[in-house]
Amino acid sequence: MILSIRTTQYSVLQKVAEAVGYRVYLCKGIDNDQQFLLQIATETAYNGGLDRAAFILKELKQTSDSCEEEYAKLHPGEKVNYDQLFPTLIDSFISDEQGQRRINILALKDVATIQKMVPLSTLKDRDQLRISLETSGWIMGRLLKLLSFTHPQGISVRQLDSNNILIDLERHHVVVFNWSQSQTYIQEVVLEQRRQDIIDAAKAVFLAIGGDINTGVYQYDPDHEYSKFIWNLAWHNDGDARKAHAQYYELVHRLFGHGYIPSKTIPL
Amino acid sequence: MGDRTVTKSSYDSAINKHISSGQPSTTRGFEEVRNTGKLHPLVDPSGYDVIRRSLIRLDPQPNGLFLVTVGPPIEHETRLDTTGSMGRNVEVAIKVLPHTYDLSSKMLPGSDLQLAIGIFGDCQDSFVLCRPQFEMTSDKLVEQLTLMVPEGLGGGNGGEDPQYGLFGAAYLTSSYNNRIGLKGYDFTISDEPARERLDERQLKRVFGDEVFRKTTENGFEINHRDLPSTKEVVKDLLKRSHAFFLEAGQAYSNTHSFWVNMFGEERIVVLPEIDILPHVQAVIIGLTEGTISTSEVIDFLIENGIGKENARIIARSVSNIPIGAQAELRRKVEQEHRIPKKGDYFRAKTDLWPIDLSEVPQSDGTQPTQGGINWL
Repeated sequence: MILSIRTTQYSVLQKVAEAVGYRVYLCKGIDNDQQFLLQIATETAYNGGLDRAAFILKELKQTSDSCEEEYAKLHPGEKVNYDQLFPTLIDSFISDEQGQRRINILALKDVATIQKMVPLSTLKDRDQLRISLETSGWIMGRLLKLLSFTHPQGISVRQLDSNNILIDLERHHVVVFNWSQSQTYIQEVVLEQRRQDIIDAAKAVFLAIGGDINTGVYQYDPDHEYSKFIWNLAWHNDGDARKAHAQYYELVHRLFGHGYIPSKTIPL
Repeated sequence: MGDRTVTKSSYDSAINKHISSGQPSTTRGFEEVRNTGKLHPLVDPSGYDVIRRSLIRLDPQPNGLFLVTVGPPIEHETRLDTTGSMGRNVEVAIKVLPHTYDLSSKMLPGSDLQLAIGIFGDCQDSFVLCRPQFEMTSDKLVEQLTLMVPEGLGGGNGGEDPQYGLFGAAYLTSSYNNRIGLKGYDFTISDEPARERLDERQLKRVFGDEVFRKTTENGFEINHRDLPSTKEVVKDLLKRSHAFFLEAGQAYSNTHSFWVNMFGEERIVVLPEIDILPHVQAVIIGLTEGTISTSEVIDFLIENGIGKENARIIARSVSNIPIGAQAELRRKVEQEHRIPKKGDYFRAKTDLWPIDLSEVPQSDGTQPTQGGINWL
């Protein structure tokens, strides 16, 4: 199916996800073969959520670009890459052809092959796998980096479950996909919600390493300092993602060392 | 019922007619109180049958039918805090009235915007609430605003009493819009929290002794021995209205949390300056109606004179509201009915839906007679 939006045409490929409020299709540009994700509301009643997501993604991108400019002044040639952590909004519109439903066209920065991005949940639920503690290091780290970026801007994710966290195990990419549930605040996100976002992220990662989120037990090494740290974040964090991010990496570097560690999955 | 609306020239005429130069706008309202001890009936919540009505404007036609002269009505009620630092809000409401009408109308194409701009104070004031009629002409709207009695007291005692205005909006409003399955708009503007409970004596003081008979007449059984809490009133208001609290600052540390508890986080919108109330109301309406998208909000605000910083603050705040809520209601209604528009005909004034165009008698081609004389 070919979808025409103003002067751009997209070839819509297979459906890759479905939620109550939207469906997601892989699509690519007719002119350049670049891959995108097409998020379409399942009914017009859900248009508002996609409209909100479009607004928030634009806000995030603007701030990310500003941060990048500032960072480049201090660290020439280096990047912060906050915009790798959320989709880039390419377009958002109401489609007459699709029954007045809203469509968001999304790109994932530095991800050439979108199929390599998988929801964190599928490892456990579909593939019966858990990730090694070292592997979870970069996932949790990036989630905390994202929150330390969004919270001071007054944006809470409000949906940091493992279904909404896309990862590329090979290239260590993490993208939080859906922002239609997010909420903006005029100043910083309120404490309760900041805590909740960190809790959600920590629980998603604890689950991915094979922990039991009902008991807080990591059965493969119950006394491991790392799993205890993650579980602690899920219960006793003070809502300061920046501080948690710094503490987290201090621990990770101490336990697992610096540098690239290949991802590893283990049967449950 | 005519087809007049708010225009710049009609607004200027109304200002000249109702406000004497050099005097406060509300001089007439205070005079009424001095002379009678009461609010003018046009703004007295107990006046004019207590229930505020928003009706579709229909004109009788020679063929016996009734013509829709403007469009489907949309009721738009505002209640402004006039206590303490918010004492100049009536003056502002008068000043920005043309913007209120124009900007909200832009978001409601083809509709008949009907405004009721009232004020509230504190139970310690002589008058807790001024609640006018829904109107759509400059003359009436300006007149009603000049009849307000903003006492400007009551600040600094830990909260105000807009819950009585919310009660009126929830249970003492009758609108065509609701009857066909749509909702109107309701805005409470303050920088203070309210009280969590309502008091029977105050309800009678504000709306008159017949208040409970009137709520019953309007379809709401309110038990005077078990009054709804403010939160329950808001819950009921949300059944008939897209209602929002516009936070014009925070005079108390619990202002925000109080209203979040009443309305929910998604219905609290920041109002950076009271003068830009019309702009904030318009984007809320536009997003709710689906006539504007979040990506267009900042441009719309800037095009209409709002500074970039305020535009960004407002855009972020309104991104949380239930976007498209009225658009969805409209779609549901339109699955079974045709929402009336200007030029449609009703068989009877009390009908809910217009007749099908095929049922409208065709003219025989002769000109309508005037003065009973048909010249040949």
